[in-house]
Order: sequence, then C-alpha cells, then structure tokens
Amino acid sequence: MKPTRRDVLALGGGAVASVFFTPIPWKLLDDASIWTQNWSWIPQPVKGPVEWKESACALCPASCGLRVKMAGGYAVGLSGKDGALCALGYGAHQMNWHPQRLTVVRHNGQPSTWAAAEAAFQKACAEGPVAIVDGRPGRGASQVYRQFAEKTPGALYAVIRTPEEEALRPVAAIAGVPVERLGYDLENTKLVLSLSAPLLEGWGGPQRVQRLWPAMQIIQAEAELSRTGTCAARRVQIKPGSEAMLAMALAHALLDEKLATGPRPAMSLAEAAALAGVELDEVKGLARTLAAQRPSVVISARPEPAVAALNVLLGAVGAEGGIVARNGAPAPAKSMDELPGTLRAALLDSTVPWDRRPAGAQEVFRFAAWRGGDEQGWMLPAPGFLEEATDNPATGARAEALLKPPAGVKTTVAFLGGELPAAQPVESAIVPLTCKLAAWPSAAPNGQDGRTAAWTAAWTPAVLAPLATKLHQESKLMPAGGGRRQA
Amino acid sequence: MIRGLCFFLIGVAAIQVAGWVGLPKALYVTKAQPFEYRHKTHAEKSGSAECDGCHTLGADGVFAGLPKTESCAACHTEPQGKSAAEATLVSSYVKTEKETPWLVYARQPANVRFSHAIHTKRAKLACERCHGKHGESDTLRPYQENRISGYSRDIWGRSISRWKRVANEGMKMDDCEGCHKQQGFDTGCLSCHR
Repeated sequence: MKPTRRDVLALGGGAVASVFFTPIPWKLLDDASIWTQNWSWIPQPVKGPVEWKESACALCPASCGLRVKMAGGYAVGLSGKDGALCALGYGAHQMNWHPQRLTVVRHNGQPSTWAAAEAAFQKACAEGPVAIVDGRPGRGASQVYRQFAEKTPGALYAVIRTPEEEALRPVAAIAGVPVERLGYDLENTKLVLSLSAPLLEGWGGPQRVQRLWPAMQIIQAEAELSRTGTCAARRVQIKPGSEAMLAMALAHALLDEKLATGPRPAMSLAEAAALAGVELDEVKGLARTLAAQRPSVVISARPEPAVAALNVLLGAVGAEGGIVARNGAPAPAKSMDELPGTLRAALLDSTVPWDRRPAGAQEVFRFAAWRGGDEQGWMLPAPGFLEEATDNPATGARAEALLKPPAGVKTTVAFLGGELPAAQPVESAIVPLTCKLAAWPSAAPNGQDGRTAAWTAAWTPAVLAPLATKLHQESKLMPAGGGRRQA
Repeated sequence: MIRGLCFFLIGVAAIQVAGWVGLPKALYVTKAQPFEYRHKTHAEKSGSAECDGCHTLGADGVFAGLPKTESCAACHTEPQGKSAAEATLVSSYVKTEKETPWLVYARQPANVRFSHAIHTKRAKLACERCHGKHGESDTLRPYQENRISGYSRDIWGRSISRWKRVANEGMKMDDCEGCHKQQGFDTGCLSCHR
C-alpha cells in the first residue's frame, strides 16, 4: 500500500487535532516561559551562602546603621540596624545596577579616560586656583582633601553648608565661635518658635525633628502655609520676608514684660509688629509663651541677625535646649559660596549635590556614581552604594566597603593621590558657651537693614499680587465670562 | 473514507504516544549528584531523625538550606569507610574546604521567595508535606533536570499530567495556591514573588 498525499494529510490532521490533548503544547509553553527568565543576559542574584554584615548608609548625613544581607559577595537585602530605613534606603543596593551607572570617565558628555582627566586636573592645578569641594565635611576623606589643598599652591578647600548651618552664622558672629561648632540642642528643647523654617520637612537631618515632635512643641510663624505649619501646635500668620520684624517685635515684648534684659532694637514694637503683620497682643502673648516654656529657642530658615539677637535675649544661646557649642567638630572651612569667582577649576566630591557647583569655575571635575545633570566638564566615576568605606562624621565610625566596585571606578581620595586615614572615634561633647549681646545688630545678611527688608516685605504683596491678578485676567487661557464657564 | 479515517487515527495515536510517553523521556535528563548520600544512615548515627538537626533555621528565621561542608567536616575529616562517596567527600570538599554542589530537587526560580520559618513554625507544616519522605531515604533519587527550564522534575511533579498520586507531588505555583486555598490562607503576588 503506497501512502498518498491524502493519507499524509489525514495523518497530519489527526496529529494536529489531538496534540492539544497531550502535554506537548502546555508543558513546552510553561518551560519556555521559565526558560526566558534564565537567559544569560538577564541579571540573576548570585547563589551562595547567605550572611549578614553591618554597615552604615551613606545616602544622607543621618548615616543610619544597616544590616546587609549578602549572598555570594553581593548585597541582596537591606534592613535598619536600630530601626527602619527610608524608602530609598531599603532599595539602595539596587542603585549600583542602575542603567545610568557611571563607569567611564566622560568629558563634556563624551567618553574619555582617567589619564586625560588626571592630565587636565594637573594642568588646572598648575595654572590655579583650584577648589576641592567637600559635600560632607568631617570624614576621613575630608582630611585627605584638606591635606591636598594645603600642600598644593593655590588650592582651596571648601565645604557645602546646610541651610541649618547657614542660619546659625549670625549666632556664630555674636558668640565669636566657628559656625561648625554650633548646633541646636533640640533633644532638650521644650518649645521651638520657627520663623518659616521647614522643621517637619527634612530640616536638620532626616527624622530628627519628626522624632522629637510632638513632645517638643512647635509654633510656626510663616507667610505661606507649609506642612510644618499645618502640624504645628500653633501657627502665626506673618507678612512675606518679615521674620526679622517679628524677632524685633518679640525682643521689645520680652524687654517690656521684664522677661529679659539687654539692648533694644532701633525699630519700635508697634512699627515692627505692623511690618510683620502681627497684632501687638499676639506678639506679647508669644513672648510670654517663649519665656514661660523655657528651654525655648527661635529658629529661622535663613541667617537672620535679629533672630540670633533674640535667642541671646531669650537666654537660649549656650543653654541646655538652645544653641550649644561642642568640641570635636570639623575644623572651620570656607563655604563653597565664599569661594572667589576666578577659579581655574573645581573638584567636586561625590557628596556634592548635582545642583551645586562653584560659580565662575572654568573647569569642573565632578565625581559621581551615576550620570546626571548637564554633564558639562569632567564626570569621574565614583564608587556606588557600599562600594567604599562609609564615614559617619558625627561619631567618627567607619564601615568598610562591602561590595566590589566595577572596573573603571576610582575614589576622589585615590584621584588626589592620598590614602584614607584610619578611623578615629570623635569625642564630641557640649562645651560651655557664653554669649552677651552688646548692641542690637543693625545689618541684615543681605546688606539690607531692617527697614529696607520690611519695605520689601510690604511692597511685595502690595505690588506683586495685583500684578499677578492682572496677568491672570489678561491671559488667553482664561475662559470668556470672567473665569466662569458659560452654560 | 475508511482509509482516511485510519490514517487520521494513526496520527492521533502517534501524537498521544509522543506527548505522554516520548515527551517526558526527551524533556528530562538524569544527572548524578556529586556523591552518594544516605539520609537514613545519618539520622541513625547522629541519633536525630529531625530534619532541622542539619537543615537549620537561624535565630532570625532565615533557612540555612543545605549544611555547609564545615558541618560535614565535624565527622568526616578522615574517610569513615572505604566507599567512593566517602573518598570524594573528604578529598574533594572537606580537605579543599569547598561547598558541595548538590543538585537541589526543590530549587525554585530566582523570582520566588519562600520562607521555611513561616511554613514550619507558624503553619506547623511537616517537612514531608512538600519534600516527601526524602529524609528517610537510603539513597538519593536520580536528579532529573528539565532541559529547557533547567529546574528539577520535582517542581512539575513526577507525572507529566500533573495528576497527583501523592499529596506532596509538584512544587509549582498551582501547588502552593492549592494548599493555601485548602488551608484558607489568601496571599497576594508579592507574598511569594519579588
């Protein structure tokens, strides 16, 4: 019997019709889907003995203690050592695998080499001046940067100051101590009068104020409602930019009520209160509360000499629960904003935020673990999360690198030819601070005196608000009928 | 007409045989374990028939998995007999301090997370519920690896049809879900998958 074409078709038809009643399509589909998970180019966690190691997070100055779950030499999980971590912290070990991870030197957006970067930096050093900018002073690496600046002619060491440190500069000027040594003893504070400071929005280091609040009472004086304002025990509405006016009004009220002794501001109580937009009775009540709820302290968002003077009058400077001085703080350094505008180059540590760079620097050498920003100048690949020894400037403790950085990555310390010094515990303790107010400060940090600032505060809403309304009314986006949609 | 029907039925029969008999034979390849291991003998000699005598749970609930070579070295610094398995263990792993590359019957894909602590401590499930009477065996079963997925045949189950002859057959998601449904524990995707 010779099979015909019709026989072959019948045979095939039978096979196709019944194949769905066999495991062939279903099992192969299942296996194929699992096979796609195991393609060689899909990253897989390494299999190996699981062990837990301890380290510290370097994402922010809080330096939270970490327990790192390691498998086969890789970090596969993170948890807090003494509590929870932030959302970013829990997944920080994944950041080293980000597609934008920087592993090649880049110059003006184009791939380059370490040799070219080193040659360019040496040339810049020879031509000078060059600034080494440290985003987190007080670390072991900071010592290397300082040493490099000291031994290199024309090199300068500068730091990035936090807004909290900046706000303490007027106090440092009155007390005659470096601002690096000052800090707020909020753990012992009963009441904080915040003048537009975002206390519950990340101010003063992650979680610090949140942990103390609401046991620590907050009174928020501000022009625009903030999240801190909504959570505060009491909120005082003031005019924009009138924080110094309120401070002066409070100083008058404290002196009038014999709750403090010291010099008076030149501006009268009524004038200051009017410029701040606060009723006299409310100012007096606020002053009485500040005096009754000691230890209390006044915190401003910006450096305000009037606020510093008010704190001295209140007795908050040098007192427990107020503004205190400590030893073991990092040595005084120039702020990046104080650097001359004629820099030949600036070397930025990987802790310097992307939006910060010295104004006027001709050439920028920025260390970063990930690509970002405008990529102008040199982008130098830095170690990523847990890939380099992690310092905690507050305690001097150092966690060694747990992960091996990818090829092509170099630390700033190695780039400068230095070596990370051995970890030395910092003996930090509060030291006595005596501060007396000889005369009420007259100049605001921006060069304006109180009246000019007050005038600015007054005309800003008076002029800008009608102007904004007019612009809005004339806008073509405004629907016909005065903003109401016609039926 | 009859002739065509015959060929059609031959096609049906051929593909049924290929699917139910040929596919399992073609799909799985038998691999040898690094050396022979006797659970029964170890349980008798150690005096502990409990699984967690060797397959320990850490204080933090993390399952240690297979014992490390250093655990074996506690008794096997020198060969305890003249068997080939004993010689391989001592010479290749104990003396070189290398971990034994066991072929794990229950290994799951990397996107699966499974907590032994929750199942054995909280749900009080016996190890045999999923692993069978592996701990009483006097010899290791042949390890059959799926040529496509790379995982053990135990994951799909011995039967290609997935008709379970015993309760612990199969370790696929359906099996987990079936047991959870039976026990009245609902779980979301991220309870087991990462």
